[in-house]
Amino acid sequence: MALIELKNVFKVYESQAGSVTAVGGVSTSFEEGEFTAIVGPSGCGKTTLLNAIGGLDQPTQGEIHIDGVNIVALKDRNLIDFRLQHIGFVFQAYNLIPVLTALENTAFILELQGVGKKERDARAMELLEAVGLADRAHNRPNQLSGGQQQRVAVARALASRPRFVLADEPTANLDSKSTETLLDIMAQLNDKEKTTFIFSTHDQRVIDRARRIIPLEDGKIKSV
Amino acid sequence: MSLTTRLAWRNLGRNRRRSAITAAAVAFALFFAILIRSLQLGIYGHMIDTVVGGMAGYVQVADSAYWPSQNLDVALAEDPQWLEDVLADPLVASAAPRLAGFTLLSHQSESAVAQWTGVDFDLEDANFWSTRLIDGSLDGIDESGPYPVWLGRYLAESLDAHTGDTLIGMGQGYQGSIASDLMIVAGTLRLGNPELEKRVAVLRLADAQAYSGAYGRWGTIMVTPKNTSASIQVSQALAQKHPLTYASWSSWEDRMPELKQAIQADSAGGIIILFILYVVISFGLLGTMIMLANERQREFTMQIALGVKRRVLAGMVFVEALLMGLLGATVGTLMGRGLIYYFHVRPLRLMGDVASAMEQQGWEPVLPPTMDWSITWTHGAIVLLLTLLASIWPIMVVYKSPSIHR
Repeated sequence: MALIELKNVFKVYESQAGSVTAVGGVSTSFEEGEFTAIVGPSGCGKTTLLNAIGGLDQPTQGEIHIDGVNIVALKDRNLIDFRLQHIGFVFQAYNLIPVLTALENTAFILELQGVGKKERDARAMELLEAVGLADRAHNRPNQLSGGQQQRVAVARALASRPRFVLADEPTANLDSKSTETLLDIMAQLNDKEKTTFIFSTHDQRVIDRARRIIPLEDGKIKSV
Repeated sequence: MSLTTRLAWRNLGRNRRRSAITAAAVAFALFFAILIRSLQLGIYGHMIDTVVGGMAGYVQVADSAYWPSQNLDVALAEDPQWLEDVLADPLVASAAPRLAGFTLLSHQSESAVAQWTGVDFDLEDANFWSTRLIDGSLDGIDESGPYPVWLGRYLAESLDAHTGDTLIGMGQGYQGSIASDLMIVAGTLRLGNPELEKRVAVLRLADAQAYSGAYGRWGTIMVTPKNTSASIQVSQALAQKHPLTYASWSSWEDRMPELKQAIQADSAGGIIILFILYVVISFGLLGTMIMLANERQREFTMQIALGVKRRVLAGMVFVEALLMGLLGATVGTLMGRGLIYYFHVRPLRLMGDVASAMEQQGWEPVLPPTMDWSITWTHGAIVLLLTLLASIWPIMVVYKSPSIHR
């Protein structure tokens, strides 16, 4: 059984100007350990599709099964809990909590899961070492560069050993060097921890490193 | 420290100016509430204590027909055993009989109508009388001379009488007899109520009985309960426990409804001022909370996306408001209590027209605040509650936040 299975997923936005179909009947699946990029130009529906997979946005139609659970049918409270237990997120704008240090941000999900301080700090430190930020563990986000913040965000996404990580344009705000560093780290973690990564991107550097590409156009998977 | 509390605490430092303004709004609201209410209730307490506690009694026992004429002819027969029982009651702080009547007092060419009051200095709070002496003394009386009398200061002024002067008293005594004798001024009194000071002439109880011919008679028995704020309830309880033939019990509120109503009306004015203050402060607090919610909406959304439960975020905002409220309440309490303690030690004494107006209404023109902690607790709780109510706005924003930011 696939880790993630999408069945005829639609997302239509209604507005006064009419309806806009952001995702128009996507059906696909993702296996465990994949390093996949959903690619396409701006406005093609990449982020909408990623949000639907992550349970952040409710599809207008269709089913999304993760480990056999149709997350479309889950209520808000259950969905929040499901995300906490199974999914890691990396956002384009990093979205670290400004009042927490790098170590606390990395351990944040584990703390929400109720993991003890000693254990979560050890795991967070291990990941900060993996992303090369052990020496910045006690710095707050405003004391870190954009690239460093995104590395902390990756460490946070991986801390709880989620079933998969969704990364929405993770390199959009990074320079070339930071992008390369981040991609190296994610590839290594994918190899080492067998974590599934799904990116939405139009960054060629990311596309070049992906092992599977899903091209999206006008909300539909383009035949290659 | 839990995650909720840790985030709330650190969030206070994110926008220090806003946190400080919020805490300051709470602090000033509480400061003014404590100041206004302590002064207001302190003035009432002072007035009740001097007018009621000293002269009329919180609870009074008298013949059913004694009030309102204060007719000497219906004075009660002395009953020392009954008085002993009342004094031994755990509800009672003190009890002392009095006898009162009206007389004409003359000094040289000046005359004035006075209300003489016979007082048992041994049973009454001697401290009360000694602290009200402007001049003269309660002791050192020449027992072979005329009856010693202590005059209200304005009565002494109208008679142009001073300590050591001799007065002639003439009036109606007990059951048709003539009360007539010499009196010597033993001192003048400040009673805290100008109306009383214009008419009161204090005699020793035994002298008053002899002057009026009402031997073995008590006009009233003044009872001071241990809890002076519950005089109605204490009066009712004592009436059942210590019945006395022909006597009825009354609290000062029963006998002086106009005083009680004046206090209630004035107090309502103070409460309206505080209400307006609280409305203004509430809008200030709400404005701060709306800004907080708007600034953090994206953050709430992101945290919900990560898996933070909405109730955890709501709890964080609530604790944040609580911490700001507690900080403000602590500062407000320290400021308010500090200032009222200063005024408690050095009461404000009004001057000029305001003082005259107060005196005409029978109030001594001083503003002694009460140190009653219940004012601090009550208004502290109100400002905290207002802060927490204002936090409902960001809590609603948390519950309405989507899990995705567009």
